Amino acid sequence: MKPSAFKYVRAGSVEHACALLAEHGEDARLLAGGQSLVAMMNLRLARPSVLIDIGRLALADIAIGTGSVRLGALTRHRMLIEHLGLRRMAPVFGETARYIAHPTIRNHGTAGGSVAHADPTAEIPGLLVLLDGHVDAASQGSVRQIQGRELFRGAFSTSLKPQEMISALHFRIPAGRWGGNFLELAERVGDFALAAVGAVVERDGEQVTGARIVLLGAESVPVRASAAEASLVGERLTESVAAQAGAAAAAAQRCYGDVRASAGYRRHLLSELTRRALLTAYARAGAAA
Amino acid sequence: MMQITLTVNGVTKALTVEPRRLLADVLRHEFGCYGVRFGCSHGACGCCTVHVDGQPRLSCIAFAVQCDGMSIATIEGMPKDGALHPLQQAFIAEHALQCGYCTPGFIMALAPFVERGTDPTDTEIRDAMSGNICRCTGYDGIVAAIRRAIGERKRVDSD
Ligand SMILES: Cc1cc2nc3c(=O)[nH]c(=O)nc-3n(C[C@H](O)[C@H](O)[C@H](O)COP(=O)(O)OP(=O)(O)OC[C@H]3O[C@@H](n4cnc5c(N)ncnc54)[C@H](O)[C@@H]3O)c2cc1C
Ligand code: FES
Ligand code: FES
Repeated sequence: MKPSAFKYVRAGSVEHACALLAEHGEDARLLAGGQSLVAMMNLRLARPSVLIDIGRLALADIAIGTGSVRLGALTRHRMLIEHLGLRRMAPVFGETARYIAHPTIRNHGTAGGSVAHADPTAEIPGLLVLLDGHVDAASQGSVRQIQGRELFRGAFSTSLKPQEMISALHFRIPAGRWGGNFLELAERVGDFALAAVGAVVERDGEQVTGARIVLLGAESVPVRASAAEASLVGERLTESVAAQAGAAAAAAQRCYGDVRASAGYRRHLLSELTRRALLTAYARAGAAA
Repeated sequence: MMQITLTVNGVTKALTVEPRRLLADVLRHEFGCYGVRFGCSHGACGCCTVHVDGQPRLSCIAFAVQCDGMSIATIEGMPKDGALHPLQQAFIAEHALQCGYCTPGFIMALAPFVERGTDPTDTEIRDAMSGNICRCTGYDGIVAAIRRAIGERKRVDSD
């Protein structure tokens, strides 16, 4: 259980990290919190020959704008739970982050690392897709935006190029009255989810004016339940409307089965979690000022 | 090989290490802190928890070179003025260990929780210790020890 040998370089800036990535190509890996990468290196599932440590860069900042939240790539999971502005403006961030691993790991794991690692049921990729987000992908001399929906290609696979580094994550927050909710089921507290659902509901009086639903555990990447979302607009979100939307969202998914849960069980979970998340998000939107 | 400086339980040492050496390994073999235990070596059991600049961190998924210049505390540094940390004392009082292999990890992970905790529910205590696995004692005694240590601290605080 020891990693293979590598060269270690500490990056002094984003530009420096990008220059090092350009120089070393696919043999190099960025090291952020190390909470996934070092475990993989110990198991020799990863054997980079150069590690570029970005962990000390000043990229752990949270900025809340009108209709948007920006997270620096090194924002630790724990900050999403504790940040006062987020707790007020978009508590769904903290609610989601509580499902990530355990307290000690949340002290160090980063938003950028989580998105780049792209575990199929990781929570922050789910939030990025739920909140119509994008990342800034920096490379030597340029920055491009990649939409969340285009970023995730499959399990542990993204459309980031080897010479690119995520510098920030951006999320779109509704302008009017809205509520959110994130729910998941895992075998034990802190384990990766069997299935998870995030929902955002906007409302005007009793009427839904917008809905977003993300499903984790349906595919190897987070997926939006677009048809179910569209069917809710203009409705009063009653128990039966929520149940129908949940059933429709889940029925449209192929779902995968593995040693932990069959495809059928995952579909059942997605349906039920969607129903509950929608009702909670709708109620919260009603309570919002 | 790289030159680094680590301060461990107040003792500062300059070392030359291979970048691939894990913090846990360096703490054990270069500093003699054998209370730092390897359980799983991939972040899943909490056995190897230490404090890096005051914050709990899993030393099996950190490289020593990442911690260059930082200050580290291990279980060996927990007793103060010859007295065990209140959480260590509570573990003894509540029989929260049998073999003790997991105990340093629990103490290091939960000491900050005990030091700031007020009146946590059992669920909050279990959430706080969810990253640590004990393979032989079971968790009820550990929950009781954490509760006792918080109660003890509050009693001292209010004196
Ligand atoms: C026991 C355990 C349980 C866990 N449970 C969960 C869970 O329930 N949910 C969950 O989401 N995660 C979980 N994790 C993973 C944890 O959230 C990680 O923190 C996260 O996946 C990766 O973040 P990191 O900063 O540690 O990245 P690292 O481990 O440093 O890096 C991960 C990968 O991302 C790349 N990378 C890092 N930063 C960037 C960047 N800015 N730009 C481009 N590439 C980058 C690295 O090169 C590497 O390939 C768990 C981990 C452990 C050990
Ligand atoms: S040995 Fe570090 S978490 Fe298990
Ligand atoms: S006391 Fe033996 S593993 Fe916990």
